[in-house]
Amino acid sequence: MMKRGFRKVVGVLLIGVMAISMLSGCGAKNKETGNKSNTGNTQVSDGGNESGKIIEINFPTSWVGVSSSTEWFNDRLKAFNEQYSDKYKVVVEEIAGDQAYVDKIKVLYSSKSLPDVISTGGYNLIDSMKDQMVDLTPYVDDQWKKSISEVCWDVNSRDGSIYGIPYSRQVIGYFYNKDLFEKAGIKEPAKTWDEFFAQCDKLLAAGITPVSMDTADSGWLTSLLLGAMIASDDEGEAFMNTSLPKNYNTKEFIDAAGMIQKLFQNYTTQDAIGGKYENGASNFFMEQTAIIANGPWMISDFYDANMVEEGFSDKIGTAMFPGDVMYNSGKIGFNIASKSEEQLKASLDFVKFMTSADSQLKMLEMTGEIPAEINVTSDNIYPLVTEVIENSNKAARNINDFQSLWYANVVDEISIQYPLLAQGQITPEEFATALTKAAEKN
Amino acid sequence: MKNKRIGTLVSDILRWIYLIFFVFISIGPLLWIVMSSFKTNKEILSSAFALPSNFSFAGYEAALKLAPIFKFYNNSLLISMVSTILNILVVSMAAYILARCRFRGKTFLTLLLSSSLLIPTSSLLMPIYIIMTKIGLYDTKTGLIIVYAALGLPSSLFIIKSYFQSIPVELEEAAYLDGAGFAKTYFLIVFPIAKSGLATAAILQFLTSWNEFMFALILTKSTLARTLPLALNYFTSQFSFNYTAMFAALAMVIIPSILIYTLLQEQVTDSMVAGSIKG
Repeated sequence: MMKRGFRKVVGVLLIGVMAISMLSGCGAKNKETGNKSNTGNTQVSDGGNESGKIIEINFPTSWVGVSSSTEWFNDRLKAFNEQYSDKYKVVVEEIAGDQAYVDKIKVLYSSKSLPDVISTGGYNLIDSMKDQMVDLTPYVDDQWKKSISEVCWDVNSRDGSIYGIPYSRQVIGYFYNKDLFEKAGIKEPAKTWDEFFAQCDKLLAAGITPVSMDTADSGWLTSLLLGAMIASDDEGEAFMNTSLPKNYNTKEFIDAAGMIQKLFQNYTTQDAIGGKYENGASNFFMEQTAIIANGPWMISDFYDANMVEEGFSDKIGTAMFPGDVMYNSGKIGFNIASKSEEQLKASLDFVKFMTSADSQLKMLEMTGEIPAEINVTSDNIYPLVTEVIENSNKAARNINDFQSLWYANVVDEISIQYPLLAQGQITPEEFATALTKAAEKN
Repeated sequence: MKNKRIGTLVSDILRWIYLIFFVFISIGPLLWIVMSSFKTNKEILSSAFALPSNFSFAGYEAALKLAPIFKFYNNSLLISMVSTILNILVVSMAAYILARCRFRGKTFLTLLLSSSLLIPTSSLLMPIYIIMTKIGLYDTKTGLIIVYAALGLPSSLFIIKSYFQSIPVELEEAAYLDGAGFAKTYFLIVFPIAKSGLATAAILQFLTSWNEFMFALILTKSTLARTLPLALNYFTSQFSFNYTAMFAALAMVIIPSILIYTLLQEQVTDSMVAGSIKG
């Protein structure tokens, strides 16, 4: 009896020891890496430790994997580490996928543990998270302010306070396939939307699907067309430069939604409904569509033999939207959410480095993204990028993009409503009402 | 006689059509993924169902270069296996008590444990994130193991409890008569008999852990603890994609799931049959 009891005790003890050793064994990593913050750590891009105190800067990024900015980011991170090796170390959290990035930042915000530096790559989180972000106005001097395009400060500011440091401009028109245009007997891009639809008819008659469109992930390609259509007149242009609009029941918006419905129903590919950017881009690369709206970051793909046939880039032309409309706006930049003065100084140094003229020049050359700083130019870029910049200088109407302007839940709502609009299950008026209802929830 | 032969022939043909159809829809997508992993982006985009022009391993090279696949692979294997063992060990003991013993509050306890099936995973994200950071298990494999083991609790409990109820009590009574204690009866008699039910629960638990994305994203931040589903995001971003590398990575990701299912499929079938006969 004693023996059996002893065995039981030993058994229980053994199980306990196993459980504790398993927990401590797997959980010891944090101690080993010496992480101070409660958000853990990751790949540490570090430097020396001469001063005895190196400040860690937490920076989650989606510039990993196939992201067009990965190479640029790695280059800049290496340069920063070399320059500040005795003062700072950047703790990089790799979050592959833009949506995954936003999802994680939302959870960190809800638990009041935003990282030191955030860069969403264009998603507007300022409005929903500015209470935890640092007001950067006191740290931006006049010289810095003047060197950067005003539209870039506008999109990163709220009520006169700066919450984001810009590094890039959104300059967007559309690309067209010159060969396919020629086959359809089209000589040059349309000047008005009526002419645009007439050209779509000509393309259809020549057996060519006119436009690449999508509905998923806020329907980026489609929404660019929608925004450009809205901006056909003064009121529409004002709407597309208004931050956080709540009323979409306007004539310009409803007319534009009607045109988008017409495009969906007559002038695009079948995979547009439910499709993502990849589907639209693939169709354009395969010369199955003649027109795609997008920014210059796409241009490097026109030269990639793994994506397109050789000589594809020679067939591509750039154009302003009808009515000489161009997206020519700021892009949401780097936000800072450091909680102490010491952390804030470190984060500011990091952000200043990442948004410096040198970094912007490298970005222009490596990714084709247009710098926020007015004087940053380079001869070492694709000719098509230069064309896009020239178009933006000639544009009669300059507008901002929907992802930067509209409430995040309105942007989400678009993906739900586009398929319904495309299939005729809702009218353009109902589409406008659905977005208005979503905006009113804020 | 002739009519009978024609009838047999027709039923054979129908049976074969039926079987071929199911083989096709089961294996077709897997073959397509493997085939696409050898094609270039251009080939995938232009002719999705054509055979690759040449069998290039460039996609696999790119996949390994773009994302820390092997590191994530090891993490996934360890986390999925340990969480499965932990889940099955703990839940089976609870299920045995709930299936065999009578005590006050048993029904309430069963309902309480099963009710977590009804809680949406998204609503658990924030509280679990806060708990994990407070107890120092953020960005650790242990944290994910515990969360995954707990997430699979209700479904494992349901499967294993049902299986235990189908085992005749007389077997355990005979063990007690032969002098076996409670623990010995459970581990040496009941546990081996229930292996089919346990295998079914284990497969489901393994697959849940293997495929889980959101908790892996929220509860980790380093490559030291991240799992394979996160690696698949390295191949598509808002404005760029590499399908060849993505399909190569997918081909590598699905292999363990298929292996585990193939190895344990006999037990799963047994368990399903036992469940159908004995309720």
